[in-house]
Amino acid sequence: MHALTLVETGDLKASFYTFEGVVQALNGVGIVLNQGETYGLVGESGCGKSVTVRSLMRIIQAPGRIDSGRIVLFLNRDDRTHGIDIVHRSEAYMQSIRGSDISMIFQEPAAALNPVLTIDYQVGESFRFHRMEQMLDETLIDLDAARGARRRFSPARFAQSISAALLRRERDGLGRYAERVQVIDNELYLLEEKQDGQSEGRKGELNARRDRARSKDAFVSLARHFPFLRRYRRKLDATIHRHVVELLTMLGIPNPENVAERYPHELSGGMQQRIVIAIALACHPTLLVADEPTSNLDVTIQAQIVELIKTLKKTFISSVLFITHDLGLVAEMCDRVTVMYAGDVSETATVKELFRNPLHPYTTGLLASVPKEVQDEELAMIPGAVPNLIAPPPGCRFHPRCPHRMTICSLEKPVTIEHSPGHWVACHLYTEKDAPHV
Amino acid sequence: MSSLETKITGATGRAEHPRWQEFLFTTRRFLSNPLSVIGLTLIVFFGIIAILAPVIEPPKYPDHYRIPHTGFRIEPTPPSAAHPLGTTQQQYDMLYGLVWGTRSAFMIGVLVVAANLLIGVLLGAIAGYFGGTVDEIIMRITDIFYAIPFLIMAMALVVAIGRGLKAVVIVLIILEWPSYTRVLRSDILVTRGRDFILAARASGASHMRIIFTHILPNAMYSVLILASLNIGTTILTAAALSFLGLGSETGTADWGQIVSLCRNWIVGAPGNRFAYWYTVFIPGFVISLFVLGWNLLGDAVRDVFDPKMRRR
Amino acid sequence: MSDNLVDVRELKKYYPITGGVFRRHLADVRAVDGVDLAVRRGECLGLVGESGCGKTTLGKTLLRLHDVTSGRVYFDQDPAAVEEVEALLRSADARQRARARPLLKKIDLTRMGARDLLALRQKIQIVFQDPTNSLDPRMLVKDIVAEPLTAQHLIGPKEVRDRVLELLGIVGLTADHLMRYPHEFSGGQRQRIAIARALATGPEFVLMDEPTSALDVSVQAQILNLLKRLQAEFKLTYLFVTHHLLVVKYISNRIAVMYLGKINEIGPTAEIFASPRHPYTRALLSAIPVPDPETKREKIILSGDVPNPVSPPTGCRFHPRCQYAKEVCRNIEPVLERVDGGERMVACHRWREI
Repeated sequence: MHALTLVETGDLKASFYTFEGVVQALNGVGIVLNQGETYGLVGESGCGKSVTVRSLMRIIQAPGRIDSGRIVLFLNRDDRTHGIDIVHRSEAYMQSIRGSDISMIFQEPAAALNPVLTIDYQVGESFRFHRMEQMLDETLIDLDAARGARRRFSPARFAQSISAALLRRERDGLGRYAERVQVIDNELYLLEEKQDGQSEGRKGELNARRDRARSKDAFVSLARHFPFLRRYRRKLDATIHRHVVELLTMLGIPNPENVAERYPHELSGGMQQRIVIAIALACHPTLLVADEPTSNLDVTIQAQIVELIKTLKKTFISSVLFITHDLGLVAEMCDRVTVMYAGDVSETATVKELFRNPLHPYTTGLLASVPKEVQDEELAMIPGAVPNLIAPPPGCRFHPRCPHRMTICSLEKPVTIEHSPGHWVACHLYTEKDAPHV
Repeated sequence: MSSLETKITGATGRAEHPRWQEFLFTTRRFLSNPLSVIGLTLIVFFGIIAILAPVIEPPKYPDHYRIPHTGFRIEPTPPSAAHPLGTTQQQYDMLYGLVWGTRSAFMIGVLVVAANLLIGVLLGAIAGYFGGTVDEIIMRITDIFYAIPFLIMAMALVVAIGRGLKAVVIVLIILEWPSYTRVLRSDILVTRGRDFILAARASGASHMRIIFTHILPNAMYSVLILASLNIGTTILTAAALSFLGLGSETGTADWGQIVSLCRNWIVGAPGNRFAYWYTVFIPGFVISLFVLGWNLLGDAVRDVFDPKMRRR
Repeated sequence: MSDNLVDVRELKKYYPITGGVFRRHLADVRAVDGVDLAVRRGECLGLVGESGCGKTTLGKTLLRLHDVTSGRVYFDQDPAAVEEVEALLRSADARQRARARPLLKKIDLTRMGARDLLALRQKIQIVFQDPTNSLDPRMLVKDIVAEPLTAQHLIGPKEVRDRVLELLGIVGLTADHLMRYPHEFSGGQRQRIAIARALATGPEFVLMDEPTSALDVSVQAQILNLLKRLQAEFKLTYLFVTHHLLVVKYISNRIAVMYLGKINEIGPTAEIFASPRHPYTRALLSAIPVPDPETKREKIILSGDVPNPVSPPTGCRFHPRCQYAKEVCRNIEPVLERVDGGERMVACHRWREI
């Protein structure tokens, strides 16, 4: 129980300022994700689970905005107890952690892949963006070895020398750049040398890709922009390709060399989802966020992907945040789970505890309305429908549909309490003294 | 069952009907855009002039569209008390021409677009809905019409039918109808595959019923937007045809015709290049205003009818 | 009055692929490749399979929303007449087969003339998957629900109004909902409107094409219970097409499992779930995520993906992915055989051994 926290959100509120009105998507959401566990986020449409994880990665687009609250990430690999509140961090900082510390996979694999780029390029993009120095180093080592093997004055060796020189210049440029980036007060600063020898920091004005990838070196810039001269990067592409094939093999994709040459539309849905997972895992992230990754896939393919994620969890990923509306998947995959309804967190518990002893009336209703293997009586129903979040019900947002509603439910939003160790619930039934026993 | 009707239409009667609500909503959105209000004002202004043409400029000849001319002098005269907007070559009164020209402009614009809509909807619906051989034939016919160069077709038609606004209208209809057909056909191809069409077929609806009740109301938007944007360009093209001499005869109250009369006077004598600016500028300005009005209106219609914007 | 309301024989639906300058016929997408099916009066037959197996196409051809490539569909026909025609078709004599044709025109749904087909359309209806798409967004609810009645001018306007109100009441909506557009309703309510429309002419057979797949979990339960109640109340027969196995278990009496255009296994629901015989059915059932963390199920993970319906594998279509495949499975295509003299039928060479 003393697991280290990885993600902690507190009282997170987010809204969408649309044409029809303000959609109050998140109404004070608090979840705690520990390292090394698979965390499930369950709810129906409109409950805010997608908005929550997109806030985590700060990829909510206008007209959506995070209104208030805190999101603390403990991503520092050296010091796991050191948390950073990312709600107000710069975009540059978020770019540096997206893909490398937190990765996300989405529901539609075909939509997540660019149809005009090969698989090799798309998976390699992660490596190019986040692990460029490592790739360059490896390429240089390969080039030196290759040059050493060739005869002294052969044209091939000459070409390789030029390539090596250019790549080395690029590597040095990146190295110099890396020296200039300082983390002060958990914010990224780019130090510049001014005339009088003092250095000034430009906070967060990093366009990481532009500054890092492009060296200020004239030769390299020239070579990068001319199609014929770009050949110097061939070895680099080969190194990246090698890493890509390695990754695809690890994901159990047959014929990885062949698959890397293809385009997304030539692959089936299950295969595409594996590629998306490969892209997400390329840089060995600490947290993998999966937003309903199997909803569009067939049952047998879904089983394959679930097995894959489970296997990878043992070896490669440390934590997974799994969003779904399918309680069966939750039961199979997750350790802990949070149930959300209309922007509120209803209940949080370990999976066994939730299925054995559901506390919140919504959870009970949801469990009863899902067809099970052994279903002797009629499916229970939750009457009514998910509310419109532009004008949500006051107090507890579930109260119009709740079979146990009391007067206070329409007046006050219930506070989340820890009913039993590790089992949190937000319902007046458990906080009111004269509530009926459920 | 009167109690049932009260239930359906509500206590306030027609005002509660959802189609009326939708109409009000559309009107409100339309009027909330300042540009569309300007466009509407312009068109209404020109409309009033067109309606009141006999009042503003009483006709002198039995054919109302013949412009009266005082004298036969070639050189145009600037605006004066007798001729508030000046005269063109051969002393045609500009004001008379422009006022009555509004009528002919409206007539051309509305007639051409209405005819195009009719042809386009009919042929496009048949081609799009039935597909197969019928579709192929109709599309190849539109290809043929696209292939004919416009000016040559105009000249040939003028030779066949004779000069006059009638020829202009026919030429413009022949020019534009393929676009309408194609636009409607593509919308219909999209709508045809949707589930509610299958549901209508499963209910036993006839083809006619499906086309007119289900498909056209859902597929009309693009064509309507095309039509409203096209009225402006149609009038411009008609003016161009008249300017080239393929339209109405000299002396008819038609804007293009008036502009054609100034062909020789665009650049004056050296030393006084802009001596006859009024013959070019005034009719040109009027045409521009008119086309601007229709364009703004067309933009507004597009904004209002854009399916993405049709949220409640 | 036959026991089989719908009798499908050797149904095939191919979609031709054309290519080249002259649009030559290159190959066929074999969506449905020889299906024999019988739906009994009053039952709910579940049709399950994954994407690309042809279940939706099969359903739609039953309503003649697609024309078939070959095969026969008999709806509510005298079984003696059906057998007579089938016998004629099976005979080796070409003249006998020719005699069958005019008979078929009378009783085969896929060959029927327009007037007979229109009459049948009152008895067969369909509920689609996506309620957003299956309701005309430009029509009011009252017109949508009345469509099956007004399209064929079956009853007068006053009776139509009464019937529409009655139908809305049956599905749980009220008179306020009459004069509204579909987009003003939630997903569950729209599906109810679609169901009301399907019941308008008092059909005997309703095809349910994944009616709950686009709905939320809690709403799904409402709709499923509604469908069950309606079946009992109006003595309807359902063909319930879906890929969600637990849903089909809840609502159907019998299940047919399809794979790549053919039926692999068919039988009573309880039996199939208790002891699936076909390897594909086994894999399918084991892959269902169970909402109970205590049960530990041994999952059969199938390798590879569903093959392309343009060129299905030779012999048994499932053999490339089957763990029990043998030589015979590669060469000969299995036919449906009766299991132990009961209701169940399986198409597998090795069902006795595994």
